[in-house]
Amino acid sequence: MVASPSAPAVSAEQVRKIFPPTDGIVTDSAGTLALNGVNLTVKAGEFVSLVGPSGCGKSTLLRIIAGLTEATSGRVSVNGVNVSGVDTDIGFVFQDPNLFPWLTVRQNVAFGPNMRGGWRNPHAADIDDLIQRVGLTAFADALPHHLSGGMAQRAALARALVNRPPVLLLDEPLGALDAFTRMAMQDELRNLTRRHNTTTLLVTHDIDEALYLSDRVLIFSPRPGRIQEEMVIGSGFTRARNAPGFVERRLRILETLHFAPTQADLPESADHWKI
Amino acid sequence: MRVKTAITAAAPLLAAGGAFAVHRYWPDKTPLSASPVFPRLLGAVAAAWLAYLAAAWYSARLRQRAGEIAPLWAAALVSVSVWQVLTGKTGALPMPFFPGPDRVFSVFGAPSEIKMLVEGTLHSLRLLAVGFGCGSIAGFLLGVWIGWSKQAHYWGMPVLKFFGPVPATAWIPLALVLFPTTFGASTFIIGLASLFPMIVLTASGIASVRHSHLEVARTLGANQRQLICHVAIPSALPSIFVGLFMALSASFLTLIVAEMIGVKAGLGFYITWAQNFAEYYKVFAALLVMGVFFSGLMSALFAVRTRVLRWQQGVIKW
Ligand SMILES: Nc1ncnc2c1ncn2[C@@H]1O[C@H](COP(=O)(O)OP(=O)(O)OP(=O)(O)O)[C@@H](O)[C@H]1O
Ligand SMILES: [Mg+2]
Repeated sequence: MVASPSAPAVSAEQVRKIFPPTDGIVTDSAGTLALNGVNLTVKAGEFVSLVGPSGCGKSTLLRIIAGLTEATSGRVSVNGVNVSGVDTDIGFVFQDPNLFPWLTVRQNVAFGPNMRGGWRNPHAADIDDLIQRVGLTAFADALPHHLSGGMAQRAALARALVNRPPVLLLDEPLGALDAFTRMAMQDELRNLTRRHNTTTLLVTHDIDEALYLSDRVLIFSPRPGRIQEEMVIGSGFTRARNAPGFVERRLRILETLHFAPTQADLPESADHWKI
Repeated sequence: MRVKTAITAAAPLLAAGGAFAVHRYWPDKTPLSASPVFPRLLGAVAAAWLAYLAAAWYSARLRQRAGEIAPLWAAALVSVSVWQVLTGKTGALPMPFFPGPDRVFSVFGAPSEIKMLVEGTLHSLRLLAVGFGCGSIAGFLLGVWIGWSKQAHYWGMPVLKFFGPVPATAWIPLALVLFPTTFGASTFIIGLASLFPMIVLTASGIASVRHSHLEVARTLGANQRQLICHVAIPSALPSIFVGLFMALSASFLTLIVAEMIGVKAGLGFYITWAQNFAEYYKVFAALLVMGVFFSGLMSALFAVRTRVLRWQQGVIKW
């Protein structure tokens, strides 16, 4: 499926998206311009994060790459094939967990393998392992309405990962988690994507998360969304959350997003600045 | 507290005893041939209650349940007694249209009547099973189709909107022409009665499946058929069950109408037949059987629903 290790696994050229006018959204008569000429390439096996203000079109871009929404203009390809319709080589974790309420956690996680041929699927054995990795072993047989928001998110993450998709699109998959569970999940995510050489595009509002996990961070402008700046993290980067390079990069991202602390704020630690 | 518990536990016994005393020692206005069924029934209820209490002595769960149902049983027995006073004992309600419970229950002591009632019930059940079964299965399939496919929706909905509100019984003349046997005709009518609620509610359940669930399933690799079977239908089940309940009540109604008009067997037929001989106590007996029969089927459907829709919060109670 992956053409060659260096070929882009995901590429978007001049992607524009205009949503038709809808009742209740104040727009000009042309509709909502959500994305305005987005260019993006993600190499196979690369981990790229997207950060940007709320409503700038990050989810829309992910949906376009996954084939769930059609771009108004522009070209999108995944593994060298133009996107037209849903590609099952792509794993997608939605902003809402969207667990199937009639299935238990284990059945939800097993949904993908079941759709792809049940027990013959070689990945089926991963189900319990993944449930354990996201820390839901005790809740494997629970129904979704008995889960907390964060637990539901972790279940949704396991459900997308179990198919071992070559390309993984994550829309704030850890948004509802507390700081500690979130760090544990970040480590799991990093290990899994490394081990399976998964090309990953992560939307997050947590700059530390983006810096910690990514090879590159893309910063979106406010709507209409465009990629405003790119930050290459590089392999030599120490991912310790308090390393000097880490803090410096965090400040640069905040600056781009116009959230840079003023001089008066600086003596205080900027550790807790989030978008 | 203890006294109150004891009174609650004894209430059904006291009520049964009272009902028996009324039956035995209050002279009938117009004495009828005495049938032993009613007093025996009272005795059986009292004995059953005693056995239940004995079992409850050992089980906390039964004890709690006994406390819950004791007032209901006592009230039922008191009502039966009041019914007897109003009919046989005082004649406040005119005979023969309102027979007392002793007279009604005497039906269950006559082997020939039991045979007719059992046969009638079985016949009704068969008609219902075939009619409701075919109608609701067809309604389910058509509903899934109309709810899923835009084209089926476009062509199907006007037909549904036009013919749906027409009561199934209005088709009886046509059914009698179309089908050589009354069994066939009444199956058709009952099927028709269950068809429309099933189509409408299944279709609306399928059409309102959450779009995001379908998207998740598609990214996980589900094809069109799997989307229908593994996402749309499970999420439409609450609505489908509402359809089943409506279909079942509609088919009860249609069943009895069919049996009162054309079919020469079944509980509905038994009622009309007894009415022709002015044997109203048999009418009441048949109504009792019908109540047990229909509410039994409804409860069975509710039990299935509770099991199947375990995942739904706040299920409707029956
Ligand atoms: N289906 C739709 N119809 C009309 N407008 C839409 C639709 N989906 C998104 N939009 C608009 O597109 C813009 C971008 O939405 P999107 O969900 O991509 O933002 P986002 O960057 O993911 O925001 P957040 O960080 O809050 O999740 C918003 O202005 C939104 O109103
Ligand atoms: Mg979003």
